[in-house]
Amino acid sequence: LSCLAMILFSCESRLDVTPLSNLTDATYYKTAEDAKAALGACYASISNPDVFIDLATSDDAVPFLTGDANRPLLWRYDITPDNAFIRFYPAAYTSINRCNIVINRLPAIAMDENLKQRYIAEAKFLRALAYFNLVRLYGGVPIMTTETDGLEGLEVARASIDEVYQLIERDLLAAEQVLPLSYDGIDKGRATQGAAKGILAKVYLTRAGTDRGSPYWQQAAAKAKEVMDQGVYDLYPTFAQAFSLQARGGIENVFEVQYLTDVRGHSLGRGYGIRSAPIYPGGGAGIARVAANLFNLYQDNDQRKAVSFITSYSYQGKTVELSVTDPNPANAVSFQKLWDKTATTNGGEGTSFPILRFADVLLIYAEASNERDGGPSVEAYEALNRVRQRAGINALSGLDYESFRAAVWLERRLELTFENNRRFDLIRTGQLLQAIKADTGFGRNAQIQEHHTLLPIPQLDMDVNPLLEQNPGY
Amino acid sequence: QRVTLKVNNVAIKEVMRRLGKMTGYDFIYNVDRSNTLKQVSIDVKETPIEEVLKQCFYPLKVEIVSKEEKTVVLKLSERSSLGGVSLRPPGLSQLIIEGRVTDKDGRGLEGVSVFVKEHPKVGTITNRDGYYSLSVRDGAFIVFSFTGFQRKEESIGQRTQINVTLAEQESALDEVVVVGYGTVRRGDLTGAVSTVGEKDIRATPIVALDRAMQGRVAGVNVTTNSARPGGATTVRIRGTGSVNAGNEPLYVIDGFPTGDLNSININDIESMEVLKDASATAIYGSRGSNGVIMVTTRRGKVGKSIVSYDGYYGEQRVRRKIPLLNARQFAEFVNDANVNNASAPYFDGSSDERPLPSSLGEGTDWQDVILRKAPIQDHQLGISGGSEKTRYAISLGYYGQDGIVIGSDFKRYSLRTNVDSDVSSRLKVGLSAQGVHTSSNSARTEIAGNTAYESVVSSALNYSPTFPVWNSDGAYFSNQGPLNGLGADNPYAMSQEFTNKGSLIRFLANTYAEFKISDHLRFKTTLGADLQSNKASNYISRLVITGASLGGSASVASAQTINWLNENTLTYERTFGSIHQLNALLGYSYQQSDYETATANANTFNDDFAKYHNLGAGSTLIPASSGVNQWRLISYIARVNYGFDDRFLLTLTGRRDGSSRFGTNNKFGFFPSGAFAWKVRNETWMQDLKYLSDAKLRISYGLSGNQEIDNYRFLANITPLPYVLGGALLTGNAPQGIANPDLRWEKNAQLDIGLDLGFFDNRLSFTGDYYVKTTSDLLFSVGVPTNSGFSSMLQNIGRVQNKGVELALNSTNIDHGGFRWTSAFNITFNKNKVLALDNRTEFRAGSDAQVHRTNISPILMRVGTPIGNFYGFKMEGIFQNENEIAASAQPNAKPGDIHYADINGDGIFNDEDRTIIGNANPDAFGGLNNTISYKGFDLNIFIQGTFGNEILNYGTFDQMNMTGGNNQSTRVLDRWTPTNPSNSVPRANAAGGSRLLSTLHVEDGSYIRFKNISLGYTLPTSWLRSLSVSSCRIYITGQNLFTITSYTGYDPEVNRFGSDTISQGIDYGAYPAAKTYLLGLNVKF
Repeated sequence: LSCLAMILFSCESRLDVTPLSNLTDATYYKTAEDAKAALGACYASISNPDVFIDLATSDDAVPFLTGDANRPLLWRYDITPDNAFIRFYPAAYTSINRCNIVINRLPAIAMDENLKQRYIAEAKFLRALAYFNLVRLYGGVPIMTTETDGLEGLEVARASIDEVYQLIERDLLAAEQVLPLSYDGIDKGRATQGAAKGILAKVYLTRAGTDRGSPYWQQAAAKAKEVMDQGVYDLYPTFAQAFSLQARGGIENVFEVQYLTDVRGHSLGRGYGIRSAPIYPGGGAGIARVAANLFNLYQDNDQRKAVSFITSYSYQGKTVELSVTDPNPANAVSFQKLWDKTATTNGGEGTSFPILRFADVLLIYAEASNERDGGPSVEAYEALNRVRQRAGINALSGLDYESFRAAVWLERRLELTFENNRRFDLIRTGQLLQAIKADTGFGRNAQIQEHHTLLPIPQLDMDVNPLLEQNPGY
Repeated sequence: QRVTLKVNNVAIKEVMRRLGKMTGYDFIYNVDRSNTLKQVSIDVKETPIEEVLKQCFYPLKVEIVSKEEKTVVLKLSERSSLGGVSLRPPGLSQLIIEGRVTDKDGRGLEGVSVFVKEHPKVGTITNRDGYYSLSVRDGAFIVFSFTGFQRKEESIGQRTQINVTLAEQESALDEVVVVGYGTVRRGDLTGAVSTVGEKDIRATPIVALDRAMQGRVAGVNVTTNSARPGGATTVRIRGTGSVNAGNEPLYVIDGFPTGDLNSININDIESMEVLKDASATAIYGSRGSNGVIMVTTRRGKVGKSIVSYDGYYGEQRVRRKIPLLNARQFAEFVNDANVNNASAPYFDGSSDERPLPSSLGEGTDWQDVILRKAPIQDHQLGISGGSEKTRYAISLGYYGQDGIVIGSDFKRYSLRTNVDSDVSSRLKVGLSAQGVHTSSNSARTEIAGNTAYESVVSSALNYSPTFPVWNSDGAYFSNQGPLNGLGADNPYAMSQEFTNKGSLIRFLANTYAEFKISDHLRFKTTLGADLQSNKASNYISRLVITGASLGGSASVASAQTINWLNENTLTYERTFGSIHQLNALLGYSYQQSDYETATANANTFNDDFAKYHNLGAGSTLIPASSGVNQWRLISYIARVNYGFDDRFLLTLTGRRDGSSRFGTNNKFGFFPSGAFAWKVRNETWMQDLKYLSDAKLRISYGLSGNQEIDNYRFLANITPLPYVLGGALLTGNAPQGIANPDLRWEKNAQLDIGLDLGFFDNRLSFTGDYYVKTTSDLLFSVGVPTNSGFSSMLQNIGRVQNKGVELALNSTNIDHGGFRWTSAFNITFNKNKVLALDNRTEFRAGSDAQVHRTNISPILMRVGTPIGNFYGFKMEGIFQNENEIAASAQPNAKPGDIHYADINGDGIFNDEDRTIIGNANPDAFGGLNNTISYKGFDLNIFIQGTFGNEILNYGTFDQMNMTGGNNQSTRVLDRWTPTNPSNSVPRANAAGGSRLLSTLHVEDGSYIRFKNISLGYTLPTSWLRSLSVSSCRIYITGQNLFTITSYTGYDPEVNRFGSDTISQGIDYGAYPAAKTYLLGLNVKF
């Protein structure tokens, strides 16, 4: 009997069943390969950039009005914390936690020290990027700088906006020290020194706000200038080239999210394409169309108009002319800036999504140096006119401080539409309320108020963290 | 069995009485023959019973005719070699009565005691074919008595031939009940165990055995999740005890704990025992807390082989369509919505697509387009029988059901063999085996994705009635314009162009060997396996939206499960001093399951011809995927049953279970229970109570567990995450969740107090149970602050309590002159309450209840309230004028908009104003079954219902969104307009109202349903004899004929999220329920 008991109890070790298909965190983070994959998870976490919040809460676009009710509600500024389209918050923290893992775990891994420091710097860059988006959308948010490995310490109250910016600045300055100027072949697309400097320039620009005497103008201009002086980045000769498949890893995107056609792509072309138009795999979704007031701002000879918007299409011999006023979304002039026409599947578009484009850096420099100097310098003109002339429109000259500022603001809108800039620019320059109230197309009548410069913390996230305080007004 | 006995000159009757007491058997033998014997003297020690009997009846020859659970039938005959012994000559004035005793199917019953009522000693037993012959000198009545059957008396009069049919005993306390690792007499039960008999299982056309319990077993609430063929059900025994671990009971099929009920042929099932209290379920330890259902399939019996055919054929139609606007009403509505949003009317007669509403008629009824009348059928051919040594039962079954939504069906082909064989007097071996193949086609209903163009039902409800099915060129009509805001696809195209095929091959077999070590000690070992191979094949053609975007999309997924089980038990059974009965069990069990999957996909095909049959033809490569899942369970089992003087019964059980699913610190759990029963009726002071035929008091308390979570949940698994850099696809890795090495069993402590009463010879019987079931260490996927990078984590926190009363009443209302009316009624009142959740008072439950285009989890868990509260706003009514708006917390509203209650009264309407607006748990549920039989006719009426539960009708979000972007319920005809001051339906408004979850979306889900009405006729045996048919019954049945409910969706029995605990009672895009009419036939040869 005791023999039998021995046999039985020796079986109990058979209960230690671990997955055959996955590693677990107890066995992971040991090698250089693990380190690379851990950092890869950080890059994977930014592969779903959201343009809808920017388009719907600015004056650039009109959502499909009889479609998903939550979309027009955002556009009309009838925003509740329940709205499905403001949930950037948890996705940002997924990214932040993965970056924290890299920053916390890599020091213990035996591997090439230079590579290790570079990986950590890349993670710091991506962490700063996530916080930068969070702070601009929601204001001060909980600061997490350690990896989540248990339930302790997860209920964290919101930090102040200043504290979040301090972290962003610290991370970007640290990354800037380590990151290389550029990469070869298979590493193209990783965060560079230029990317860290460029985002930092944008951070300073945002922090300067509407304060004319702010020291941040100088810092923004200086950082942008450093990127311009690196000689790594440039504008493509034509605007269309900047959004072609060949631009992946190219000279213009200082930092971008990369995709592969029909392998791992986005659907920004089809999603914001003409509703039900058969030219897209699966038909256009028409999530939002371009607003007439944006479309009509372009000069006729502006190359960017035809690259950014589709105004007619032909299918099986029939040509459909599109309009910015016809309420039928099947006839609406629509966005096509990032449309990859070679994709054969829905969600298979391979064009890169620009997080920071060199044109943006030039315009940051133009704006910040104009503010710093109290008027446009030669270099400021040069930066602005590089963008304008590449688009095929005339160079500007002879402007005073005010009109130069207005010219840069307009240029940003025309150049960077569909790239997640308009809402942030309007808020940064204190023009959001006025711009939204002025946008009355399609019966918008938005109920915008002062508190709408920040979005509400999504209700689901409010519900699980009792220490979170909702933004005022919601 | 061996006995020790010493008697001296005792009457044979007394010797048999003593033997009976010792062995536990009743001996039945021809009294008239044994009367010829003198008194006997016997002195034996540990002698086989056969030898003792031989000595007793010497010089007669004794044969054991049959040996059942408690009865041994002996046949006495003269030994031819003893021709010289003369028997007492028969009297002169005797009457010889002959006849045959049969069961209701006309089969001869062997071993029935036939005796004269006035002279019980004058008797005989029936022979193999049920014939008897009895010499009677005087007396007025003959009594026919047989274990398991109702006793019958016949007056003799002048008759010399008396044939009788015995009816099976219905409320027999002697009935054997299957419990975990053994059987017990119903009268000796200490726990709360209910039985569903063969008749009830087969009364309604159902696909799977779990539905047979609906309305028939107190304490068991059964809800159909989806009405589609082969759709699953949710079964809750004594309420919902767990939140994120499973709540479904454990099914044990012929000793093998397993699942997937759709592939078990219900016609093979003889009985189902529902183990409810901890004393009954603790023997299943870690899997017992949700109740255990013991399923016993039919086995062969000694006797003539019986060939039987059972079948039915019928038709199903939709029970109810949802009333929607027709084309003209819809066009008027759209115009109204546009005008209210300060735009021009859409239907303005300006083009063919935009005619004036007055020119439109009914338009297309998309529900009619996708629905049909569909056949349902079931056929079963069985043969069973056996000899003394070997018994067998073999059956072939076919079940086929087409769905009422075009393109859906379910078919099952099954083969079962059960064999038992006595290898020797000590060794018995047996096999239960079922091979089955099921195949199904599913329509796109209740699917994930939540977009209208993915679900055929959602599309049919939302697609504009002004749209035609076809274009003029013969292609499917398609329109994604402003009348199709939800992006629905052509419903007919969807029903044709999606292929979702499922196929299962399953072999479930369990073998046993039972060895009698001594008269009291038995060893039993079982070895079984459940082997399943699944294949799911899908194709989406290029003619529907989802498929067009992919250029046609095909996938083939296969899965394989190997689940095997070995159980070993040692049973000791003995009676000491005739009043102490002991039954003890020790056991060891090992179960292991290995599950593997592989999936391949391809997109972009040149044509739709090959569907999923040629993935290589797809020009878009999608990475193949595979997975594996394993779990193991090691258990030690012990149980002691002790009975004292047939008055007191005590049961103690314990199981120590180890599971691979739990954290390294907590692999093993121990689950003890105890039960005590007092058979009050057997007390001497109760003997005078004439009308009370049974009374038993039961009390039990015990612990059971729950391990129904996914594998490996205690680990932080690393998950692969693809990304692109340098123009190449790479894979990153990150943890999927937060590790929890302390993850452990959910514990369920249950107290049960039960009372069983029988009146008038158990013609009326009552069972009542009161229970308190408390689940602690709740396995709960706690929403964690999302700043952690994760949204939830599985933890052991909190307690949930279910408290309730179950009442069951069985009665024979009338049994007179061949007219018989019996009723079975049961009702359960269950109260569910969350007692504690970590240290918080409420949780919003995860994200798994997010439905179509809302970003809120509609479920709130709050301490002190039941699980699964619907959480939202309270609709006060409709704003009638500006004054009301000014006085409200919604300053931006317009007259005609919904007025929500400002719950916290702060004058601001926001999320703080949400409150509990409903709950899916019923206050009560039950059923009433009536059977009336008269002269071969039988009528069965079965009513079932639930009371006091609410349904969250998500369809209202679409059918009453008031935008004109999709079709609407006819309820919007009563919408608010300045001239129709409705207070329940808001105004039409193309701008879209807020999609806020409110009481507008919550409805009463109570219903009473005539689940089954069936009329049958059993043909008289005299008609059939020449056809060598022993019995034949034809019947017609109507299922779901009437339902009384105020629910506005397809059916109040609905669960969008299946058995997901926290998201019960949610309806969106459900498959419509059917009513069924059928014609059936049962024949035995």
